[in-house]
Amino acid sequence: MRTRAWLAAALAAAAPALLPPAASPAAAQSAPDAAQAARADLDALYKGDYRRAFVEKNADLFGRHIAPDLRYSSYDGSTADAEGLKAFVAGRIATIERVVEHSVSLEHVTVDEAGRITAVVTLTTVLDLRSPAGTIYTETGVSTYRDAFVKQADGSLLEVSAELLRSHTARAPRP
Amino acid sequence: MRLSNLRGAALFAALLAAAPLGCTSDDDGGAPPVEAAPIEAAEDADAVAAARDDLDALYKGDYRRAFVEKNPDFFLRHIPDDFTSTQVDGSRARAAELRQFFPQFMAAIERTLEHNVTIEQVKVRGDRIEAVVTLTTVLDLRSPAGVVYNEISVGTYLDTFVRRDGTLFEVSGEQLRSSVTGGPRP
Repeated sequence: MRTRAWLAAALAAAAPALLPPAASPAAAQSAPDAAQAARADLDALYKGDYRRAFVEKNADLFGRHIAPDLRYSSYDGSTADAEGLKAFVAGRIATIERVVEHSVSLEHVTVDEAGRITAVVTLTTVLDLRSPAGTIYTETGVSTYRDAFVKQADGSLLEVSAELLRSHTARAPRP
Repeated sequence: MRLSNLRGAALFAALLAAAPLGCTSDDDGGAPPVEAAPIEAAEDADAVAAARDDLDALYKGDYRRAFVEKNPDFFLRHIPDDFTSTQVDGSRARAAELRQFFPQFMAAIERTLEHNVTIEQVKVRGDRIEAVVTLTTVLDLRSPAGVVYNEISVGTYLDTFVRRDGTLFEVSGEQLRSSVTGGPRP
């Protein structure tokens, strides 16, 4: 199971100031459009619960945003369901010694007529991890996903699909 | 066992290929020669140069052929029973695990697009040769799901060899750092 995407997604946080898409003067005079609002919601999610899940080592903060019918897929063709993903993330959280850095970039945020939010998300994380052998090492990850969400009645986001588009992982002893 | 756990020196060593090994200088600027090195040092230099040549031949030879020809025996015949590898995360593998893993990994290789090796800090200690080896590979791999994807790997290892009956055997590999980038085939 290629779950790196999900792990990194859950680590998303502290993005640089996320600029709204360029708008025409006419559009700028109107109310914020759906995509702009969706971007703000995604930003809050990644900097909020998804980040907290790892910083606080509480997998529930991540899992409560995962739809029961979520599907994960990777460029290598591997797939996972919601339960598989949540189990993986909980396992990974248990290995985190320290979250050194986390950042997220959101691109191509769109909202379709049914209200489904889709975004291309690039997550950069630097983690100190403890291996089963007890060794603490540093892992830097940069991964890009196409994630999709729906907004629930209470306003919270529920992730319904995730597609890993590319990934990069570097491992080295802790500096 | 996760495939990545065994991507140690031994594995990537087998992916090696034609790398520039060291460099030479054409500088003849007339600077006076430095003081002549002691004879012992010259002998050491010769031993190191010979060891480097042997490593170069091994990586460009059997280790590379194992992957290009998808024949694990070219690689595994240089892995003795007492081989050990250590990864950055502290995980270890022995010869038996490598012999099981390596043919499986090779079977996943669809194509070796590029392979490159840089050999540094070669040391000769008695019958042992140590070297810091950085391996760069670009592979098309077929996943268990049947999808072919692209993977770029750069790994640096401290590898140790011994010569037995004229053949080099890799007795240990210590992963010092690694980097793997995966994505769809371009």
